[in-house]
Amino acid sequence: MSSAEERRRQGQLGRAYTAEHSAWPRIIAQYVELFAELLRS
Amino acid sequence: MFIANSESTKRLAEGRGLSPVRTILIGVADRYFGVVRGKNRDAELTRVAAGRVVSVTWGRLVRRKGPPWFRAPCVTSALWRAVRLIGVGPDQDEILRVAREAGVSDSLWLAGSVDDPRLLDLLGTADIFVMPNIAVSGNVEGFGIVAIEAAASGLPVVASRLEGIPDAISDGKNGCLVTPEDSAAYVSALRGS
Repeated sequence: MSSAEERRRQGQLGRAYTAEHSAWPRIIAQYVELFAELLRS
Repeated sequence: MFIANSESTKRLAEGRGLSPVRTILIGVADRYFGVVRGKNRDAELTRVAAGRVVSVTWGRLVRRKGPPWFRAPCVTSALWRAVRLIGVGPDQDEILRVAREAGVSDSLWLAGSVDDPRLLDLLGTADIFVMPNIAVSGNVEGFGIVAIEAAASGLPVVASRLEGIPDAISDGKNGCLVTPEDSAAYVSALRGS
């Protein structure tokens, strides 16, 4: 991360990964799935 | 049914006899994805940084967050001297004292408590987010939400591989995980070598 370009590249990669894995719609979907599972059991 | 916010918290819960425990991680608020480097700009941090690379961390200033220890790698590397801290907490005075004794007061800037709009500007101004947590008995990091908020804002993240932080940061994907209190490893990760 010694150059601004490398920091920008890593930042963009990290943001994309975080958007895919940690955005609230994805988390809410996991809660919906869990509660559906609980209702079935 | 108990819901844990990380695998780390789940292990703690199960260790205390709770069962069953499922893990659902915490999400990141949309506003962090909206940070635009160069557009979100904090005038005071820009002035204090004076062109240097800005490493930033934020949260409650308590021992487990690591600031008093983290001065070490900063002192050893002139390139990474600039550490900026955002937050307030019970250990703030200790952090300031340690910085004075280490002669790096000029590299340490505490923004204090900031509101959300300013936090986003500070993130847009910083270059790297560091989360140098250390193990403190009885006081764990359950997840590490600030690390993924930083990642969502487009900052490269260097954080300790400790407690719930690996649930938030996937090494090599949205940050770099480092052995806690390993100064050389932190400096290496910050330099990218």
